[in-house]
Amino acid sequence: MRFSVDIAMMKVARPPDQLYSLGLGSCVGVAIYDPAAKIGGLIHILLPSIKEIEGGGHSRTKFADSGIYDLVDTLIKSGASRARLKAKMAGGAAMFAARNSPSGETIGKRNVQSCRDTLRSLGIDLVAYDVGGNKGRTVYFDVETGALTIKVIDKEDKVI
Amino acid sequence: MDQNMDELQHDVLREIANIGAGHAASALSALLNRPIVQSVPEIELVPISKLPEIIGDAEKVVVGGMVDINGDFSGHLMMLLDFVQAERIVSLVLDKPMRKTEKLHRFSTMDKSVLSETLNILGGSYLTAISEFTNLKVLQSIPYLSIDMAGAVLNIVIAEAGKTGDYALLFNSELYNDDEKLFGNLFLVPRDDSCKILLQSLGIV
Repeated sequence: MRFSVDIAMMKVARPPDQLYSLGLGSCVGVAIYDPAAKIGGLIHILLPSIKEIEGGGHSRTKFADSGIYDLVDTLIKSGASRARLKAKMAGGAAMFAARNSPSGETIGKRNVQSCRDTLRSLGIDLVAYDVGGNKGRTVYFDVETGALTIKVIDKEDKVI
Repeated sequence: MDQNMDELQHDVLREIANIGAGHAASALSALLNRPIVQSVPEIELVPISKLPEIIGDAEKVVVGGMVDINGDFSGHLMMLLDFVQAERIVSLVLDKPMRKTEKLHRFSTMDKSVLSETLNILGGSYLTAISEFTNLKVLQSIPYLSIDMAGAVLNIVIAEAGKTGDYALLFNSELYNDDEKLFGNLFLVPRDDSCKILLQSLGIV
């Protein structure tokens, strides 16, 4: 089965299931998996950090920091080994090329940076990534092989 | 943002969208030299995770344009056109035959410029009308254009809405020439407490 992982959601799966997120712009899709235990998850991140947000009631999986933490926690509870976990990610584009803040900082870039920082703090290897630019991406994550397939319009699929 | 709008607030917001889109329709009519009518605007509260599906699926390739709004109230004005609609507008403005659009094709720099300028004019009319009606002052940015998957194009608006909650409020209008839907979606997406500011300016809330 293929399962869609919508914005601010995460899903854990085992082979032969596949997980996908459609039309990532500034969002980032982060796939984390244990190749030996054959279990993996995908999270569709919208914003960099839950710490920047005032007020409660937000889903933790909307943010890179709290979301990746929760995904890793769920994977370990489902039988993955933290030491074997690997991560791949794609997304973080700036869709409107001309629309840059004076600092050059975009939500996409900040999302990517926060994903990197969170993975590092959890000691998880980021083995491959395809981030930035100004094209939308669709990602398919194959839990069996750990392959992350990236679709961009007008281009050949890319597998990382 | 308040998810528990009452009937009156809902009607007032719809009227604001009505006034904005009405002026946008007049501007498009002048630009294309043909009568344009607008649909009754819809005010929708949409879960942000469902926003990419608003005009089909998240992967559908669309011509998306955005104008940032800043001032007494803030947010974004977005246009989402499918390829046929975008091609139609280019052909009407430039007075050239329409290309077949079964397959995706590239829009030239001139075509993109036409689409950006159309959004600029429509956005200016929409916002000026609202500004005069509510006595609130706003500035609009230059128009930004992106031809890509709907989900990706909408991503920045979703991210803005996501900062304050899990829902986005959309003011959605469609513009027609006779029976032809010329302009698929013209959205106003107010940011933060901008809805409240709009309502307050009219003595509601």
